[in-house]
Amino acid sequence: MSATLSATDVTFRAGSATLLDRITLTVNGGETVALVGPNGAGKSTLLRILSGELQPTQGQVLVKEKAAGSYSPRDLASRRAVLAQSITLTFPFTVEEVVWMGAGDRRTVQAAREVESALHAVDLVGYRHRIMTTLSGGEQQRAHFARILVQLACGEAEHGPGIMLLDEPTASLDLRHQLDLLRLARVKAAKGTAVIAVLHDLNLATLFASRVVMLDHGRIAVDGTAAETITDEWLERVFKVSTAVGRVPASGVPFVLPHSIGG
Amino acid sequence: MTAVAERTMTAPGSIRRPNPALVLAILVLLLIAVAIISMTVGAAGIPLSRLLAVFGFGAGDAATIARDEIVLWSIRLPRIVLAGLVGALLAAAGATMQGLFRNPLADPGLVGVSSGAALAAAVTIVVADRYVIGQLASIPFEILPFAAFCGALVTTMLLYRIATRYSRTSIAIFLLGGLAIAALANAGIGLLVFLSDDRQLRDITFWMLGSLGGATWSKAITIAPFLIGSLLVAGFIARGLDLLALGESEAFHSGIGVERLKRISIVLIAAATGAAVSVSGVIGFVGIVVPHLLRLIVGPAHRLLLPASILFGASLMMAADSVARVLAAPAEIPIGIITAVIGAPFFLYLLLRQRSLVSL
Repeated sequence: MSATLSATDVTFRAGSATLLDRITLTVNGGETVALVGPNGAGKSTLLRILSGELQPTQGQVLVKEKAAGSYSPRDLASRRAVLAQSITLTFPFTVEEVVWMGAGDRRTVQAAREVESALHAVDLVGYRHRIMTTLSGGEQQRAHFARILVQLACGEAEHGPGIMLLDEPTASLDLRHQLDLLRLARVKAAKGTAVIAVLHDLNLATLFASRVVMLDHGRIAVDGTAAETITDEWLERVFKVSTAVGRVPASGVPFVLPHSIGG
Repeated sequence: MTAVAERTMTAPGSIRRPNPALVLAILVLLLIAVAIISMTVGAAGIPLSRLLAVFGFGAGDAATIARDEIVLWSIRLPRIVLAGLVGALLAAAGATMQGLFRNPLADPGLVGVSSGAALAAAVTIVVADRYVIGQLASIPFEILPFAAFCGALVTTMLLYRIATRYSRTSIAIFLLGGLAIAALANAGIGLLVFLSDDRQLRDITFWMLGSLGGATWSKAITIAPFLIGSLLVAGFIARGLDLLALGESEAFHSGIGVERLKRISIVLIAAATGAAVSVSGVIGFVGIVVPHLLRLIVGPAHRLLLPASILFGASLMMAADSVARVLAAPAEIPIGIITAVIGAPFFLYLLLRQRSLVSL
């Protein structure tokens, strides 16, 4: 399968600080990649570089085999969608209006269908006429995820499988909606979308990801399956915690359960 | 999942948006109604029956009709049309400014953009008076909207630079920065009025409180293209302003060329404000009251909000000008006093409601 998104030798500096240091990463359609790492490891910065929002100081990012910077914002938006961490809405838009924003200027029957299915997917059908700012943080986050689903679906109808970038998408969600959201992202991946998510919760990362990329001080520490990356050794080296990683008996999927807070 | 969805089908707090075509139709009817009422009132009252006679419906005393005709065509109608244009332009500028700065408290009059436009117009009058007027009988009015546009453009860009840092706009700094810019521009206008003996500048209340007193057809015709331009550009930037409400990054992620959107918006704000100020001086609060009231009814989507603001702004200004003409007839109250009396308490109410937004 051809690379959907690739970063080659990407370095990003802000002032004298090097936030990303020679990152090389290739993600194919159908993959679900979790970006994990301690605070300040450069996860969100990498996501912003991959989205085309930030230009790397060195190196390049290819979106569907073309330089990210060579796309117009509009063309880029029909190939990749981004869910940011926290979004504050200035004006009293309704949930439905926000989800429709994902369709861009498409006012087609197809777009209307995508809006309906996204509202169903995130469980907000009954909230469609509510003003966004009257909803809880988690409900707002789900509405924005629905908007991203619409953006992606509309773009994929025109250009084939796209890219979904999620920055801590589960941060404000309750457990059921965390699982729902990651399941929806995996369903998209099964249809060819490349999904990259910054995740704090390592257990969610192992459940969700076909591949875990662990960042440390702006570099990729390790890149592999959950079983290869969520290990005692890597958690010790990157997160500076000593904890015994458990294994789910049947599947061997690793899980992290700290037994003490140290001290 | 569906069970939950069905149970919350009529979730409390749900709101319905009215049909856009219906909203626009009602606003057009309102505009026509206000225009007709406005035609009947003033220093020389023209009751509806005589108004109809002027337009050829029904008979009347020929001498009265002739007199009414003169009052209507040469005094009242140009003034009504100008009031409508100014209100429409100020409301368009206000709505666009609120979208650009992501701030429901923005108003070109309040944050110094109108004062910047007025200062540029006053400077132009003085300079023209000193150096050019020898060759000309009077300063051609047509240059003033462009001078005011330049003043408004500089002020808006300055304000943007002051209030925005790392692509975030601080509402408190925006308002306070605007206050300082307005004070500075007003000081400049005051100084010019003090130093100049030009007839066009003698009236400081025109620049500080606004007036539609000098309305002529030629002024209306000069600024009409600015309104047509604003309306066309508004359709072009509407979706971008909606997405900007999510934040600059999100607007970019959603396919908006954010820098271009900002540049176009700033030019629109400056052109609309400059054109309005050049004919009417500084009239505050129209740009904040109109879009806010409409947002409550039609929602915040700019595709409808901008044209609706233009229509409702025109109606509101015509109504305010009628009040200004009638209240102390035959004298006139400066129209800025009327809009401030309505707008300032409204602004305070908004400020108190949005207190958390303005925290320093």
